[in-house]
Amino acid sequence: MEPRRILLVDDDPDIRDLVHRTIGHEFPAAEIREATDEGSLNGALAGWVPDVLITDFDLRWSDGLKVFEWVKAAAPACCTVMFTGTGDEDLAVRAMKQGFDDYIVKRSSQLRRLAASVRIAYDRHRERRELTENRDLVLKELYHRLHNNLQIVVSLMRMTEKAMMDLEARQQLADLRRRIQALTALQEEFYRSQDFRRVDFEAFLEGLARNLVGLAGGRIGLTTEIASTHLTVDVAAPLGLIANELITNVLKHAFPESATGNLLVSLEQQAGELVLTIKDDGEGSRGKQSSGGGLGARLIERLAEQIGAGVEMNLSDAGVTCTVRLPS
Amino acid sequence: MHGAASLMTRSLRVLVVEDEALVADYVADIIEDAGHTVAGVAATGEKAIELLESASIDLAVLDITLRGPMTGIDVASTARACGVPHLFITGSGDPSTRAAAEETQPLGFLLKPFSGERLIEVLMAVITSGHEPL
Repeated sequence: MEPRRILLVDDDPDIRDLVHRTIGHEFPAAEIREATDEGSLNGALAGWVPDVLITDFDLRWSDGLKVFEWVKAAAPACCTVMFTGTGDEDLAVRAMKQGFDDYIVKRSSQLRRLAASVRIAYDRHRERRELTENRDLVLKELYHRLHNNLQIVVSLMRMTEKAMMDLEARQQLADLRRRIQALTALQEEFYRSQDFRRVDFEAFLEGLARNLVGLAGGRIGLTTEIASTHLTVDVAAPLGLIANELITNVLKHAFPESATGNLLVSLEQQAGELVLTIKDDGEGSRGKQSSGGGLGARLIERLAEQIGAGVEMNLSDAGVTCTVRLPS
Repeated sequence: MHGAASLMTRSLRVLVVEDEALVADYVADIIEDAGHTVAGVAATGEKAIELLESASIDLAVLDITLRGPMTGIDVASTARACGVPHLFITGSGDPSTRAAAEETQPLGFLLKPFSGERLIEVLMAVITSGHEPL
């Protein structure tokens, strides 16, 4: 693979001619365009994406660093070599810091080196691009398999659930399925964010609440007040599972059987803390109390401990308010 | 053909196109539990097209990656030609696949793993909204 489009920016016609011939000889299949001012640079870049830029620093109408910016804006993958006679060590450092692949002092003896430098820079860019493409392909494949396998897990759980005669066991399996679904929904947000370190927790929590409340078939009105929040995976997964337990709890205990009511799910920053509130206007202290010793309660306790969060539950005859406070 | 008119009624005749047997069973089970009929299950595009052209179907639920040379997106084109609306279920969130799938104007797009409730939600929306894309 060789560069196919090379852009040459220099005010001196003799130098352009020399470079053009040397580079043309090294890469005979390449189209070489020359720019001598802003107009011809824009003209060269119109509908044409260069693979390589060779530019002088000192230009009557601009300088090599600005040319770099223009060309990179139009062709981000373009590799760049500064070929200049006016520079010094300080300029070389600036050019390399800006992102030039190489800096070569303009002398006729250096022309061969310029050609070699272009080849090295181009090969390096190509290798980097191939690595990125390969990585994207592997990620896509892994993602696809992970999601298919998770779907099989969810399918198997539903089948097992339906085969169970014991109602209590079936309920527990349904709870487990929902926990797994909450985790998979979180995984989905990670993929969507294109950043495997952070997740859009607002979108996750909104979806989780909507899905769980949807299970009640319209008996429960849902209000969400969720601030835009991005969390790292080590916090998002435990907090997501806690939210799943708390909302599931409301559906089971606050509004038993065919009772109707309202649920508020809010997430906000308050004085250095991230505060998750799950509030219902269900039976509260009037209803049958859960023992608190169940699996759900134990999960909440352990997960809160893991992320250093405090969980508070206020029970009144107007309903239950659960607050999870997490130091930011 | 069958699509537009039957969509307004509550019970749908659904074609399930999915090459993963357990997932196909899962989808079929959810559809039947919700009171609809599974008109056929196909693991390949060829089989799906045969069913689309021979059976009376109101809705096709299509996985994108199938066994054999055809994809669910190929099946979607035939479904459209037969006047059968479709929705996709897929494990791929890849934007280019998604864009190609969107071109077939599906009623919905469910990303795996999805819950039974989510699938029913989409089916209900199909019934209540007719052919409006979700």
